[in-house]
Amino acid sequence: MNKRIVPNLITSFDRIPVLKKQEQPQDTGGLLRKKVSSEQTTKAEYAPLVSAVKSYQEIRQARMEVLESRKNV
Amino acid sequence: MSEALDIDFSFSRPIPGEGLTAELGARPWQNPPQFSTVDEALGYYIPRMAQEDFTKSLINVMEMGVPLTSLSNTIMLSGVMEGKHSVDVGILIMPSIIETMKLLGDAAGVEYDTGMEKNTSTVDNNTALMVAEKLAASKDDVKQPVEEMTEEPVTEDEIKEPLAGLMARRN
Repeated sequence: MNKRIVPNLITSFDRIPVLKKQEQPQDTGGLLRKKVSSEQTTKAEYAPLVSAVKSYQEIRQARMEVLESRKNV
Repeated sequence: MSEALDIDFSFSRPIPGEGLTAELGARPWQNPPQFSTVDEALGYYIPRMAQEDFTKSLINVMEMGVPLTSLSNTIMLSGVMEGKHSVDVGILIMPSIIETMKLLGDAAGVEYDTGMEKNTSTVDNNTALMVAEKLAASKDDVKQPVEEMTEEPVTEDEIKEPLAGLMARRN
């Protein structure tokens, strides 16, 4: 396996701004209960990557807090 | 040069086709993975990494100077071999695994090598140097008897041996 995959992936993850939870749109209440758009299919495609980046950013945030607390002590 | 030294000339390798000797589906990685999403896979790894035994051994390994990228690669591949998750999920969770190891290292106040720096080939260079020195030593061992054999005197008669044959040049 290429040894540069992980460093390159981490570099890419670092460049992504902090992801926030998006508000889900309200149900239309009409016949078409679930609106399926091309954006949603794209979101489903990238869902694993997004969840990986989110968890990475959460752990990174926790690490930064640990480092800050160590600096303050 | 270093690439040439990386080649493993030993015979302790699997025989070509050995991986196909087991029945299809007999290996864990040939079956559907236990955790199919990134969150599920991280839910498997992170609680185990937070255990005290793992943390202690991880800190010892960090102090030895083993890069975190190599460690995470090994952990991920072992998960794939056990059929816990696929390679794709494994690659996606590797940054989070490394970040968790960094978190544990920072919490313990240990200095570690992330393996992220471009010039991380210090271990490889040392290994390559050792191999080169061994090669040089073995070459010296081989050369000595050859030099002794070439010291035989050559007589003039052997040099002025008359040429024979149809195509030989005649004076």
